Amino acid sequence: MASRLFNPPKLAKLKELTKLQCNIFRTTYNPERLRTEAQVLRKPLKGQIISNYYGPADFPTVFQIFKLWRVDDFRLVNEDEDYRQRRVTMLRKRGKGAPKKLKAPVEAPTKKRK
Amino acid sequence: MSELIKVVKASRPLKRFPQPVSLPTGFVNTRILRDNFKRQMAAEHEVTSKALKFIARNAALPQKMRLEAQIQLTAMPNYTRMNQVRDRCLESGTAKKIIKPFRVGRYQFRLMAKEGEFPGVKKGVW
Repeated sequence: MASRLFNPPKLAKLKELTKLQCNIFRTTYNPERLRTEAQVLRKPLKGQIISNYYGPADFPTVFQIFKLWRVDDFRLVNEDEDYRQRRVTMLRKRGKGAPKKLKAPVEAPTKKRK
Repeated sequence: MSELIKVVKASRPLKRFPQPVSLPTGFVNTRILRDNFKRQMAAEHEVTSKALKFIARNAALPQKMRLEAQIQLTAMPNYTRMNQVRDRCLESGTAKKIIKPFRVGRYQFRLMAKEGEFPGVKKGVW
């Protein structure tokens, strides 16, 4: 006959123990093992990364950076802008530039009925 | 960012999208605009949709509450869902063959790598 070395703990006591354990380690006490789907909440939020894919919205544009760095004895060269301005002046010289904006609004042509 | 949204709102009524969003800083394309909108909406609604998902799937909660949460979740517009966003090329806007760490398409990647835009990336020769 095998002698009983120790008394097996009762179920109620075991439950109490698990409850205490949950309290200590800050886990939810879930004796019925229901699906609580806590992993949905446990996952880190990724909205910030996802919304910043195309670069942060408040990132300064090229023009803004150039404006910041504009000092009398230091000039940054924006090649694209320079090219555009040169092109516009050349077109103006040849009389091919864009027409000037009208100050007074033009009256819309009224529809004539036959 | 909220200030920028205000500016966008004031400048023109964005009838294009249901909610005003900030514009992307780089290359802009219709499809990029659309994707950008979806991204911002998804980020905005992330917490609510997660909470609703948690309630709907939690077996410990009453059945009625779960059902209501599920209905609310399905009633949310499509653009608030995370799975609607798709990575696009920052340079050209294509959605195919994106090299994810660099966020550009394969051809743009080749051009930019040849230009030396990505430090440490060089052509394999053996």
